[in-house]
Amino acid sequence: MVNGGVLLREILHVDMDAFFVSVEEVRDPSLVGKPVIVGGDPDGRGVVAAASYAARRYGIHSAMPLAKARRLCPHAIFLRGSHGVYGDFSRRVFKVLEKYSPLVEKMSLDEAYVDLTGCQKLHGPVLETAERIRNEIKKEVGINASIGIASNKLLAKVASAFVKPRGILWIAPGKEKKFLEPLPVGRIPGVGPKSFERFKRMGVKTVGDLVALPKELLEEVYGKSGNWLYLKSRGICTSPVSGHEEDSRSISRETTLETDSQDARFLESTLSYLVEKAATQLRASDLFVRTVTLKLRTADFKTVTRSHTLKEPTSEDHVIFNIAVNLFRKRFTRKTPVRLVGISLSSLTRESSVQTDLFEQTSHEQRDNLYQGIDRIRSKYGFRSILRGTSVHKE
Amino acid sequence: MEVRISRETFLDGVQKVQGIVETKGAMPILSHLLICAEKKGITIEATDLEIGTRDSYPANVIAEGSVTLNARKLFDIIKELPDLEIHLIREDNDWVTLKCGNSKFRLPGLPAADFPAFPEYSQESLMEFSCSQLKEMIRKTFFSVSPDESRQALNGLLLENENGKANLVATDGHRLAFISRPLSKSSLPEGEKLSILLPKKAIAELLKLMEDADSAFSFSTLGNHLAFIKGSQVIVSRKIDGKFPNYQQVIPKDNNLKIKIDRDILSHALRRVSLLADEKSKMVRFDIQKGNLTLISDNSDFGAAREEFPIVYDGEDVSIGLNAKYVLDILNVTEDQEVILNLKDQNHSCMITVENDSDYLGIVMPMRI
Repeated sequence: MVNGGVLLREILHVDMDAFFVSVEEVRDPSLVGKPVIVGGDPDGRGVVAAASYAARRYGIHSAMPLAKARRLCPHAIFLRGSHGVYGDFSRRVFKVLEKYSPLVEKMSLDEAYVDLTGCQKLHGPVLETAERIRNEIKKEVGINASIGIASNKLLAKVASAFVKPRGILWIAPGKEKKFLEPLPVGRIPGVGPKSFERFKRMGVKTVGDLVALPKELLEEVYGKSGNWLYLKSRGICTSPVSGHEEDSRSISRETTLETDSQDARFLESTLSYLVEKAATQLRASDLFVRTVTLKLRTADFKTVTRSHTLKEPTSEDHVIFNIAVNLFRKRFTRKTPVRLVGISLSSLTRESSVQTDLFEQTSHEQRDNLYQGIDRIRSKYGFRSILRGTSVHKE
Repeated sequence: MEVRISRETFLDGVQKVQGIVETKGAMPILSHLLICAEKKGITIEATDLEIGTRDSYPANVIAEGSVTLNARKLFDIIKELPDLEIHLIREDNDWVTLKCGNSKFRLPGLPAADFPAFPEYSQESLMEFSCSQLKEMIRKTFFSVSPDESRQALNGLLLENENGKANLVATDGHRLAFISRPLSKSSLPEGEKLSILLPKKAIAELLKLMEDADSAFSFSTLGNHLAFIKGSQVIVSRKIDGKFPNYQQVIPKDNNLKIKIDRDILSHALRRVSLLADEKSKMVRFDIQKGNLTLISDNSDFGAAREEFPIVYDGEDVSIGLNAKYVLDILNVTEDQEVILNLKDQNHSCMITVENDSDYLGIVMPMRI
């Protein structure tokens, strides 16, 4: 839509309704309509990862300690959650979204921005397209989504939260102010319970109240985030929807050894550590690698690189390490000591391997769970808290 | 050395070794073939050091001797010659004069003594195949051999001999083909089992030599080498080192959803729908319901295709993603009018069988939908 010579953006915020719980309901339809809570052990110290709408009626919400949730609703069904399965469902949701636009920005497993600017000729009016997307997700994956449509990401997100569950809300151009101002100030993404209390003390309850405050005052009280609040309260957001760009970058890790080495086992353990580092970043970016390149620099400053391209993209340490170590063994001669070891992952793609293997003993689900577990441990206790045996070198 | 030989016979012999000689390589002599003239005929030999082949042809030998010639050039020349007798004379410096009708060629040969010795092989037959049977077995499994050179054990066909039967198995890790046929002759003691990995190239060469369906090949092994022998014709190859995966373990026993489909209908529909499948994965989704099957490919780059047709099935609904090429490869080599897809669910392998041949099966691993 063109307005005053400027192409107005049409951005969708697609958000799954109670994603983890919805997935569990697809897997076990007898759960539908019951208070279901996905989290850890209800007798342990975990928190609620997701609660069904039936459970929410008891006042249960995400991030609440499980023990408290159990007190509020003792007959709720507690599930431990199966993260590999959630990843699978998520992938299928994104497959639907990516059919509609190349610009799909993944915010988490169950949340994404889709830029449909300029797609009317292809897909028809935006509201109808949103409806089709919602129906297709329901049909293909079996779960409900809510969609907010607006001219920027901020408003789209506020809109989708407003109509949850199973709603679609389009904030037509020019109606932004009318929609936003009566909302409680806590609806602005980024305004948490703490700032909300603070605003309350200042007499600011709605977004409209916030808009009434002069910019200088906001900057005085909130410092840098004052300007941010000023813009957000007016529904201003220029952040683009950044789709994934394939093959456009690589992930590399290399290290110059403290002393040059001819010890193959030490060099291989260094390589293993670098692979773990690179693969962790790969998974954090939701990417998969096709080409693995080994880099070796010898004491005489000669550098060689050797690559191998996989048939099926992967993000698993052990697959990448096997390739790296094969390249290393072909290349490494004990004659010259090695000065630098490096690994580079390129031809990155968002699409994981879809072909399953005949002789693989573990299912992809189990391996997804394993790597998600490793990555969670690392995010909590640091990278070195868990390492592969091959990465540890003992004299 | 001096020989007179019919053009047709010579062409046949020289043509058969073209696949084995190395055209580019560090050793020029490997681009040559070896001709030995003795008594009543000539033998032609070629090798790439992995595979060697030898056969004899009748010829009028005027003076015995041997020489090597560039296999490709010789083939190109004979191909263009009129169908008259060819006269071959080796000079003292290993140059060879070839005369036929009004044409005369002089070719630089290399000394026969420099040609690699033919590998030793055993004449003692372990089993015997009829050409037609061996051809069928190879045709129905060969497509599943892995093209990936880095997975050596999957780079060939597994030949097993057990209880008077021969099995051929091929897999690339994503699919597998298995065939078993009774042997007309087997000298393996009862209760013993023989397993050998046959290299891809040796099989490809073997296929070229199997012209008449009625003759038989015997198979033998000696040390690291295996040999296929038919009369004067021999192919010797190195065995593949490495351990073929335990394929028995992945042949599903409890794929109880059985879907009977007309092979022609499935094959044509699959070819059409796969035109819009993802170029890399070639995935087509099979939506199977009571009485009908829908093939779907849905791809943001090319568009979408679907085709629905009736099948004989009254089990539960199942959707499975399969590589269309893998399925078509199997459909292309079966003769039966109907095929059976044996499924468990969308996460387990799809086994393709036919009703009249319980000794042939293809397995395709699913793709994540």
